[in-house]
Amino acid sequence: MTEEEIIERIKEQEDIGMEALANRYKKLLVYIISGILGARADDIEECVNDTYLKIWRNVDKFDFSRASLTTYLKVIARNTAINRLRDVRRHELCRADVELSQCADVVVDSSADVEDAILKKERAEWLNEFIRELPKKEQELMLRKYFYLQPSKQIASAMGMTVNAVDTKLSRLRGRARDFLKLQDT
Amino acid sequence: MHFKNFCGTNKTAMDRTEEVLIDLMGDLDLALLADDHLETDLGRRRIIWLVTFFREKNWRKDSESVQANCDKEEGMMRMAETQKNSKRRKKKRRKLSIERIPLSYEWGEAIRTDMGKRLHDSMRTVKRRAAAVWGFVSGVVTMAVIALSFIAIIGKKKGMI
Repeated sequence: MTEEEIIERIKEQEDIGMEALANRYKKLLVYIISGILGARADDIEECVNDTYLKIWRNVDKFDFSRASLTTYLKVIARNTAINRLRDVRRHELCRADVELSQCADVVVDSSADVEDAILKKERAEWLNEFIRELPKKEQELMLRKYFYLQPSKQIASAMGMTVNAVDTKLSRLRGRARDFLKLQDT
Repeated sequence: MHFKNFCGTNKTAMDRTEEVLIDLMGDLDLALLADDHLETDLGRRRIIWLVTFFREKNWRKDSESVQANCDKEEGMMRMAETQKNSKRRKKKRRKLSIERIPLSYEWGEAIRTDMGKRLHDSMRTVKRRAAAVWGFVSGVVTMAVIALSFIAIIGKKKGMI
C-alpha cells in the first residue's frame, strides 16, 4: 500500500489503513523512540501506540502537500517520546528525596505562559534559519543530536566519523547556534 | 524558561544550551526533516553491526549493563552446574534462554541477542578447533623432523662404519 493509500484509508477510518501504517513504519518509529527513551521497552511500545493514535485522530489536520506522512510520523514520534521522557524524569524527581519546592518548580514550569510561548516560537524560527544555512552534513549532525537525541557513538557509526570528531563538531555547532540566537535576541 | 522542564536545576551553560536546542527543535521546519537519514540507518544497521562485531568481537557492546547482567546470570548458572555435576564433566553448556535476556525494541535486537550470541559461540568453537589442529600439525612436524634427523644421524654412523 502506498503512502497516499494509507492516508486515504485512515481518513476513511478504516482499520486496514492503521495496519498498513504499523507494518510499514513500526521499525522506523521504534528506532526513533528508542533512541530517545533508551531501553524502556514499555514506554517505547506506548509511545509507538500514542503516535498511531495521534495520526488516527488528527489525520485531517495534517497538510500532506507540505510534508510526507513519514515526516509527520517522525515529528510526532519524537515529540511524544520527549514528552514521555519528561514525564518519566519529573516522576523520578518527585519520587526522589528532594525538596518539595524544587519539585513544584518543575511542575509549575511545564505550563509556560503565553509570552514564553511566543518567544519560543520566534526563537524556533531563528533556529530553523540557522539550520537551513548549514551545510548538509552539519544539518544532519544537528538533527541527529538535537532532534532525534541520538548518542554521539550512534551518530559516529552512522555518519562514518569518530566519536571525538562528532563531539568536537557538535560543540562548535552548539556554540555557533548559541551566538546566533543571542544575536537575534538582541 | 522551558529548559527547566527537563528537571534538575544545577545545570551548566552547555547543558542549558543543549536543552534549549532540544526544546526549540520541537518546532523544526518540516522541510528540514524530509531527508531519509534514519531510513538509510535502518538499512545499514545490520552491516554496521556485523562490522562492529567482527572488529570489536563483542556481541552486545551497546548495552553493557544488559551484558553484565547476562554474564552474572551465566556465571551463576555455571556455578550451580559445577556444584551439581562436580564429578562428571558436562559436554554441553546450558544455553541462556532467550526469555532470560531482556530485549529492547530496537531494530535488530534479535540479531544482537540470539544470533549474535550464537555467532560469537561458533566463532570461539572454530578458533578452538583451529588451535587444536594447529597444535596437532606442529607436533607431527616436530616429531617428523626429530625422527628424520635421528635417521640421518644413524645413517651417517652406519655409513662411517
